[in-house]
Amino acid sequence: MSNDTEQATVFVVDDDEAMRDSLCLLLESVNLNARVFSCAQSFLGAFERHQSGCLLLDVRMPDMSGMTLLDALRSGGIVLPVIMITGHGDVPMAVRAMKQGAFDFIQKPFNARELLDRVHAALEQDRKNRLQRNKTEQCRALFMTLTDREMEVVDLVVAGNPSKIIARTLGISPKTVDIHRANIMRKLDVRTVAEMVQLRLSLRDA
Amino acid sequence: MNVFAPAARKNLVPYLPLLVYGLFACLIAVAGYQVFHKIENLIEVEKLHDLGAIADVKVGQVVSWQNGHKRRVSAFSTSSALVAEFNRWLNSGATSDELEERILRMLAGLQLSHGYVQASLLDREGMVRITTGTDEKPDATEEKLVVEAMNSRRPVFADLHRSSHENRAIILSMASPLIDADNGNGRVVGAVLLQIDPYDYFYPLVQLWPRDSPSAETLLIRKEGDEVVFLNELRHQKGTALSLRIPVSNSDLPAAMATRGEVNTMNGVDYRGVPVVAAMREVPGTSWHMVAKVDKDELFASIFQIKWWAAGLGLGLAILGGAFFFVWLQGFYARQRQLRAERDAAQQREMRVRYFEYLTRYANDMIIVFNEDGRIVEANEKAQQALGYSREELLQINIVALHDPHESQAVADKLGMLKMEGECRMEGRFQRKDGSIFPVEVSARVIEVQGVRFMQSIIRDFTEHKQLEEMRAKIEHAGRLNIAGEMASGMAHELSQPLTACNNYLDVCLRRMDEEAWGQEKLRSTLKLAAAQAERAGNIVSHLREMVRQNGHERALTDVKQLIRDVMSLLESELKRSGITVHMTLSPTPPMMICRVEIEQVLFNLCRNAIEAMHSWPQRDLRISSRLNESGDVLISVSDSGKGVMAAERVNLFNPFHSTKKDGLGLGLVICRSIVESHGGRIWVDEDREFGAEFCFTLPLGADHE
Repeated sequence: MSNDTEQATVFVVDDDEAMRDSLCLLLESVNLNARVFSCAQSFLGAFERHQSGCLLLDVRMPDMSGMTLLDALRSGGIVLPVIMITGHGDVPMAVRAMKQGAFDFIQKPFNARELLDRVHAALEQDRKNRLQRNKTEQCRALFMTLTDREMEVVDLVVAGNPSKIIARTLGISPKTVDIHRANIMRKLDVRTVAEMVQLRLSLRDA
Repeated sequence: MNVFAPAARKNLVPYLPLLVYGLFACLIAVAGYQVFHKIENLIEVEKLHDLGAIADVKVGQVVSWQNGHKRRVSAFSTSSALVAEFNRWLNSGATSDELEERILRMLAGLQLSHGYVQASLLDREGMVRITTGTDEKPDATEEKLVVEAMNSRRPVFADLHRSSHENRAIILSMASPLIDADNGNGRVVGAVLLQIDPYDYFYPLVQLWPRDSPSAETLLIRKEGDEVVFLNELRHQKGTALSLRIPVSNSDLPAAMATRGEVNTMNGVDYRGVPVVAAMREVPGTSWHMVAKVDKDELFASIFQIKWWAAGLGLGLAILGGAFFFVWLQGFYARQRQLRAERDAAQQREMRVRYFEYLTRYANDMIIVFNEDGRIVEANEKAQQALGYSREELLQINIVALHDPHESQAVADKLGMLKMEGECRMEGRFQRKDGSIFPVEVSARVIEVQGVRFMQSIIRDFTEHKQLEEMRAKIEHAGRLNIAGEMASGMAHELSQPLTACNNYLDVCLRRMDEEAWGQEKLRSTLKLAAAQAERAGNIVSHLREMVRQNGHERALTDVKQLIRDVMSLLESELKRSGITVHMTLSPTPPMMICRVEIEQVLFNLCRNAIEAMHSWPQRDLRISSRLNESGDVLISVSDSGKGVMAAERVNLFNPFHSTKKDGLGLGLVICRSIVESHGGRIWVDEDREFGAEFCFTLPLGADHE
């Protein structure tokens, strides 16, 4: 897990060279990996979906604006936290960005300290996201070991049915249902039904 | 469809009576024609009857004439004396001259007494033995005739024919046998041959018409092969006897009809091609036909005149009747039109009266009519409503009393002007019954009703209008603020970029310096980057200023006096509204090379400031002057009678973002100074004034700045 943080990269997309350069220096001065891009397209070309870190994105850019890039990331299922850099009077746009899933926004001209705080917060968020995602992956793998019939039983249990009803619904004897349940508990490595339900629901939410 | 129907009927109406009239005329004409036709027919029948009778008479006459001759000749030829003498003479071998002489004398007596052309005695062989004429030998017709007479033992007529003599005269020959009654049991001993000249008696007998008639005639014809031969001389054509021949196939010819056995015709066409009515009869004992005919023209001559008279009269009456009818119709339509026009006019009058009534009664403006003394004589509902008086009360009031008492002098002046010029407009204030004052716009006019002069004024309540104007001014101001705000926003955005970058660089440097991680060189290069960004920000600002200042305004030779007047006319309504009196003192100045729009902006700003400064001040005078000052520059000053400029305010007067106004941006005078200075002039506020403020600026003549 600590591995992730060390590999985390702060991506910067800004059309202004001085901004890119100064941000890069600033980020490196606090021991953060920084990669800068002059436009949205080159970022999309270079970025791999499982890379951890965060994105500093200028709202106003020629060609593809920050908002469009944000849309593209979100519709591509990329959960990388995004900090929007907005100009004066761009507050409504910032609000829109937040609604579309940006992690935070910061208004130019900004203080270096302020920016770094937000970058750290974003990286923390990303780390949490990744943890969560890993858990979900493991959970999914556990459920993959269940047979189709066992999966049916799990869903009926989650729906709150007692064994008798489950047996009648599936057309099998209550005894068989109990055997299924025991197998499921063993495979999922849970001790109580409540744990099983929780596990199933967490997978469903993801 | 419905729209067009009445119009179509309208167009048809004048033709309808015409049609009816024409129909009647035709009817009468046809009836008249029928009556005449009937009359003609009757006349024809009547005439035909007459003609038949005449033809019959003529036939009778011809027959009796023939019979008379036959009888006489018969008597002569059977007289025993002659027969005996002739017989004796023949038997004697025709030697006795004495006897021959006696016989010849008897023959001559016969010829003379009956008018024969020639009388001859022939023997049984048909040889002429004794004759009164020169013809020794009878022609072929006569030979046949003689044989027939001797065989039939009675007198016989030959047909009319031309003699074989050189003269080829037409003759009618008759032969009678000589019968010796005394000896030999009535033996035929010879024959007497007589030649009759038809012109002598026969033709006149045939032709003679019993009555006086210009065209009627009787004629004899006979058929020869396919032709009809006319036997006598005709009335209307000479030399026709035995010469005129017309084919039988000519079916309308009455003569041809006669040969076909017809006795009457109403539609004959005679040898001349003239329509006739004719009666035809056979002449018994001959191959002849008698034709009695008369021209139709003659027949109808009597009624022909009447016919034309009647037709003429009818036509005349028809035209006269038509004319009368037309005139009457015109009159009728004219009356109708007049009636309609009168009705419409009355309706329109009524409508107009009602319109005017509505117009005045429910008008949105007050309408007040007063006489020359100012006494109100009429006021509409709006006036009563707006002023709070009843109509009766208003009629007791003088117009001056309705105005704001403070204005009474101005009102009196205006009334005088109204009476002089006939109309006037003014803005003023009215006082309601409850004493409240409201702004109005008055448009008054002198009207004359039956020689008496009245003043009619239309008064508009200006309260709402004023409020609207104020609101508009507010909106305008808000717009101006907004534009400034947007400019600021744009500027801020432009500047934020380099400033942020600069900030970042500097932060990095500070950090590295704290950590002592970077060498001098690395720090210096980073600081240089920071400095470059700071410079970039500076450039943006100066570029912006450049942009604001230039803005594409070009300079041209301009008359300052005119420029000032134009600006004042732009501000006129605002000045009027604020009740500000303008005093302009404009000395002539030479044309100047300036940017008109910019200088206008300066004047505009200064005047607006002055107007606003006097807003809550009782004294409202705006003075504008322009003249050449001692150093040869044009000096323009704008002064007001407002609250003036406080000493403390003077310091920041021309600095940006300082405003004494509630929602001012503090840019107006800044812009003014920038413009004036760009023209090489100077702007200042006059400090030595007791009250009000005076702003002055100079524009150097002919100087070419920036």
